[in-house]
Amino acid sequence: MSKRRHITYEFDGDLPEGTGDDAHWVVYTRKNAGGPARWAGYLDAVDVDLALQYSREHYGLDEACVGTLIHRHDAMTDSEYGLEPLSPASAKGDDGEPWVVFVQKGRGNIHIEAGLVHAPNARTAIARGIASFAGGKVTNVRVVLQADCHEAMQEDLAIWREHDLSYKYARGYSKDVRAKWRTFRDEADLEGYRAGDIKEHF
Amino acid sequence: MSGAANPVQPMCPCEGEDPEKLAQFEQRIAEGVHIEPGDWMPEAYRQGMLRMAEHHANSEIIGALPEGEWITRAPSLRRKLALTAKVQDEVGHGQMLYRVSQELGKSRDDMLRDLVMGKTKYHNCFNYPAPTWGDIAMIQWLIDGAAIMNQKTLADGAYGPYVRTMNRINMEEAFHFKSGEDMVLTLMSGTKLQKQMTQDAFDRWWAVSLMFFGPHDKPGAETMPAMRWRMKIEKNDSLRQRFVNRFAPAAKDLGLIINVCAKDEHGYVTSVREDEQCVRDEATGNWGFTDPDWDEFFRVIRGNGPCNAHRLNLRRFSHEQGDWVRRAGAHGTITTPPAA
Amino acid sequence: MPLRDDVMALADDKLMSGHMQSDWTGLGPILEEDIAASAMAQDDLSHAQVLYEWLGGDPDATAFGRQAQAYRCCDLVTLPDEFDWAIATARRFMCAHFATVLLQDFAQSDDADLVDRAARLLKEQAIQTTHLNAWIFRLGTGGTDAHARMQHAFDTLSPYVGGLFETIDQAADRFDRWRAAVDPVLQSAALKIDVTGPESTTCGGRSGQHAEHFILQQAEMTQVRSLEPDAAW
Repeated sequence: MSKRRHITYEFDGDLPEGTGDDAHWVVYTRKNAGGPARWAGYLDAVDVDLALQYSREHYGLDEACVGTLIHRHDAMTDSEYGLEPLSPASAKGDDGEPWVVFVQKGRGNIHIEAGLVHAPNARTAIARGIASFAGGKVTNVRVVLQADCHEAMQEDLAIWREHDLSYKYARGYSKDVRAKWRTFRDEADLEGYRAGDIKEHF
Repeated sequence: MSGAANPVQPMCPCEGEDPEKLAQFEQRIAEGVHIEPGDWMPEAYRQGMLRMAEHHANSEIIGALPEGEWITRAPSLRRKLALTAKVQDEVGHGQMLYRVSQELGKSRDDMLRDLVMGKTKYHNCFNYPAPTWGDIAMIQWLIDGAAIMNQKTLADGAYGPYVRTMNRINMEEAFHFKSGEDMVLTLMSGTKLQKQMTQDAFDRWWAVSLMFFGPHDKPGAETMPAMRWRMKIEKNDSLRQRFVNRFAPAAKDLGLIINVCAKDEHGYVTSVREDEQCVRDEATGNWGFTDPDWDEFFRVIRGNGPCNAHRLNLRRFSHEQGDWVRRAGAHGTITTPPAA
Repeated sequence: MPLRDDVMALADDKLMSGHMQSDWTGLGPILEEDIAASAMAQDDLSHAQVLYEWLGGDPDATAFGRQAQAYRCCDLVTLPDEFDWAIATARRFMCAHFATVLLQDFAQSDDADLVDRAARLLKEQAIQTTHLNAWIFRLGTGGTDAHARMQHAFDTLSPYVGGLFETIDQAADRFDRWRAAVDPVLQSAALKIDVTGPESTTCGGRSGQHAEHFILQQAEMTQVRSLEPDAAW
């Protein structure tokens, strides 16, 4: 093992004073051009440039994607989380700033981008978001000023890599694993094991 | 890799909580409703989820260390890439899980500081040594296999933000496990030296993976808050049995011998005897196994395992070494990097 | 065959850069930066593989199966960073821009397969240069302590910069293009490198006369494989 991992370090006293946390960002990824941005996770970063870079290098490589969308956690406003789908509403109007609307189709689910509304404030944006996108099918509506949403796109700077990435996905091993098991187990056992595999592990 | 199975924390009773709200909260959970941010929750639940996600995150961060030792020595480009990506995933999981706890009220900076100062715990299994490449195969096969079994159940939990995070993490755990299975299969199809290396590593990790699921459940575990509130979904003993039922026959088919081992204080095996209890009970379908050494388990939890001091020492050094970078990053607000 | 030699030099640089940087995984200063730097270390290892494939033969045998003197990486890439993020970052910054210069030329070569490979790699190389440019600026302007650490890192590494260009075809021209890429970034961060030309003050790696620090890294990298050199791992 490398030297840095091997040696024992000496410390005097306590840790240096903490630095506190950087700004919190919410990250969504887009699987294909024109498709909706889907919640992927979170990250902390001091500013938007770094947050975008980190969103690409982490969530942008979790699965094939063409872009990431981020906003600060404190830039979002969520409606109440309904126990039942939110009732359809009829809030109308198109005055004010553009807001990006994300919807959650059931508690425990992720938020997915639904579209834009215009509204003078978050409360109205939520009401208009429910009217435009809820359709009696979502438990939560999230709105973020479009100006507070930032996107990284594959066409500007690569996100997804073109070289072989099969080493970092389960499917990159399935065929080999199956072939190797054949020398240890007969086909019937192997089928049962594979069924268990899917139940337990995937 | 990780799993939150072993912080069996006594949950404080719900003193002072509004009984009506508490009853409604418990009713929702019993009906399978997810708890979302903004919902009312008992303080003990908030604290319990915060600690559980923090412990899980800590485990990912320390879990990156034993395998990280082998990145420089991985024996092919694909294995080197895979191991780097796997350790990288663990850092990513730690980052995501810390976020769950951040939202419940503790800063990440504080969590990382508490971790390196030994004020909070992480999973016991990372306090064991990984002296050969065979150990890397075993960690990914057995420990990650155990982690997926545990985390699949945790994804059925009640707390929405943790469940969403777990679903993403499990996607990547499948890669870790498959890569481990591929390594074990490759080594057991290999030379005498490779097979022996694998058997030796198996001897070091089998009992550790049985302990992975935590100590035997206390009577009435189902009715205690952790399970009643669906923070924990399945009992330790039941998960452990499922693990043995899957991995014992697989190990035997691969030609591995399931041994009961004595170990020295460094975590190295000093003597072995074949586990005669490890046979399938035709009536129940369950595989038997010799219980691991629970005295050892509690000794390691208390900080006296083979590698506790080394893991925390390295993590603390890396935390202190990074201090100036974090301060420089926070120094100014840079909005435009210079053009390439 | 200057082109083949240059490809081998860059492939070995990429292999050893990836080897050095991947060792930081899990130990980086910020969790998010740890993840990003590890992704780029994986890119370096993958780029080595893509270039070894072009050179022919089994990439694993090329990466792990040669005698030390057959490697063509420069001394800079395996210089120990002593667990210092400033050195690691400064080194990656200089190596990433060197790789860009060479890949741009490979993408203009007469070999269609190499042109295709280099074009793909260049897109990913831009991820590294963008990220590292931003970090050099951040750290160089991130307060007096950070600036001093970064300047110290560049001072430590400067004597090895010439080694990047050792044996490299059209070294003078490529050195100028490399300076044109790194200088504006360094200037924006008030950092300096003391390198006046491609002539190496410390050299040897590219012609197989490796420093001891490379020999140690190569021994570690091949340790497991050499237990059973002919077995599958």
